[in-house]
Amino acid sequence: MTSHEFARYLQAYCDGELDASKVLDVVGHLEACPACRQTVEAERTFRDVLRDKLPPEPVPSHVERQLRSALAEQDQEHTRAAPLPVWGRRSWALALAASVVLIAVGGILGYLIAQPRLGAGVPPMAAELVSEHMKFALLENPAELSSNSTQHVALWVQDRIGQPVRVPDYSPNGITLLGGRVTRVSGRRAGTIVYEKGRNIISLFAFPRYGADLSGLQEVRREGRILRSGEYRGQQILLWENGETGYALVSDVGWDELYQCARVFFETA
Amino acid sequence: MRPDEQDRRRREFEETALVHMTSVYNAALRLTRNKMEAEDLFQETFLRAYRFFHQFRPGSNCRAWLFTILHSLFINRIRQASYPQVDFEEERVYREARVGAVVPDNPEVGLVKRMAAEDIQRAIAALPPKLRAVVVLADLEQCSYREIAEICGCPIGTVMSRLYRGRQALRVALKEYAKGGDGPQEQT
Repeated sequence: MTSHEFARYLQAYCDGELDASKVLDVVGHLEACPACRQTVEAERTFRDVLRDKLPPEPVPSHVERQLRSALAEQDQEHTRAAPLPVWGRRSWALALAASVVLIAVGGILGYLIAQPRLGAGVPPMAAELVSEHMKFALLENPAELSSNSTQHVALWVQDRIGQPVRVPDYSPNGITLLGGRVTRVSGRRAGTIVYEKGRNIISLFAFPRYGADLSGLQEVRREGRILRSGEYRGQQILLWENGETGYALVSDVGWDELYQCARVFFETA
Repeated sequence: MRPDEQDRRRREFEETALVHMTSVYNAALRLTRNKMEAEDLFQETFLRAYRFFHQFRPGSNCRAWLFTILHSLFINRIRQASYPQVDFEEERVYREARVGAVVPDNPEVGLVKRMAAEDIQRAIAALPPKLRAVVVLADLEQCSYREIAEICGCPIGTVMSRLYRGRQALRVALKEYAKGGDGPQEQT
């Protein structure tokens, strides 16, 4: 290894992030090269000095007090917002019957779509979609454009990503449209249509169709269509193509719900 | 939610999330520089985490999860405030970083040793937000590349390149401060 080659690994080596196969080469080079040893020493000292100069500050007591009282307030809101249900025997019987039906339907759908849990082999695009979804799902306003009009959101997103986009109406399923935002998927402009069901956010990504490597996702054929599905970081992903646009639903709302959303999409196509 | 469930949830949050208060507070402080803004970001991060605590997978890395929320809130604020300017400023800093020193030489380390903490903090605050985030997470909070990639929602390669550019830009800014200049203009 030359000093020039070593420079490429310097940062990862000093951060302890270089993979084992390269570490031996680097160590071998450092034993023979005093100049690079000095560089490593300086790089490490620089980081140490930075940390020494900016040691962690304790959380001020007033800030901690404010946080704890805000948390207690949130607890109270929760208790107020969700009183215990007072159901009669008839309601319980109905609920029981409904859950039996739901479990049966869920079981069938679950059988039809086997969902692989994706680990290290997750396709980069799926990982990107999940990260993008999780990043914004935690925000108060996950949409850049707030609107509950499907037409308005479709036009807004289309205008920004430069291709036609379908914004389905999920309101009959109890899913509210929050709006849209513009993002990037694999370096290309994409639109995200943001929905909410209860406390769960559902993102419908629309992006230019292209041959991304999606191996690792489960391929499912339904009514002549090919969907791809998988689960990553606790989020479910369902991908398909429609004309020149690729779509992906990402949420932790559950497979049945997500599959229903895809079905509504196809039915209204 | 029943009061006993509420208590259990609160206890779990206390044991899993609130133990990371110092880390989150310091990361907020380094990202924003402004104490009031940092306190605001700190509180919003924990309130959001508490609200979405059902989404946290027990046994996974709670500190990284909290940083993910903090980072999202931070970037969102920047986007709402001055998004186009951020992109422009990043380009400028990338260009300047490319002509800066490749590695810190010993005089540079000595220079940082002599600098006041306040000036170092100002140099960090002058970095574009995306570069600032990776530098703070890697060099001050000692997160791994994989953690940073998950927190920032980008591939590890992007983390490495942002970290490289961020550190280079920081060195350029520190030199400017050490020369007695005002340094680069601070970013939001």
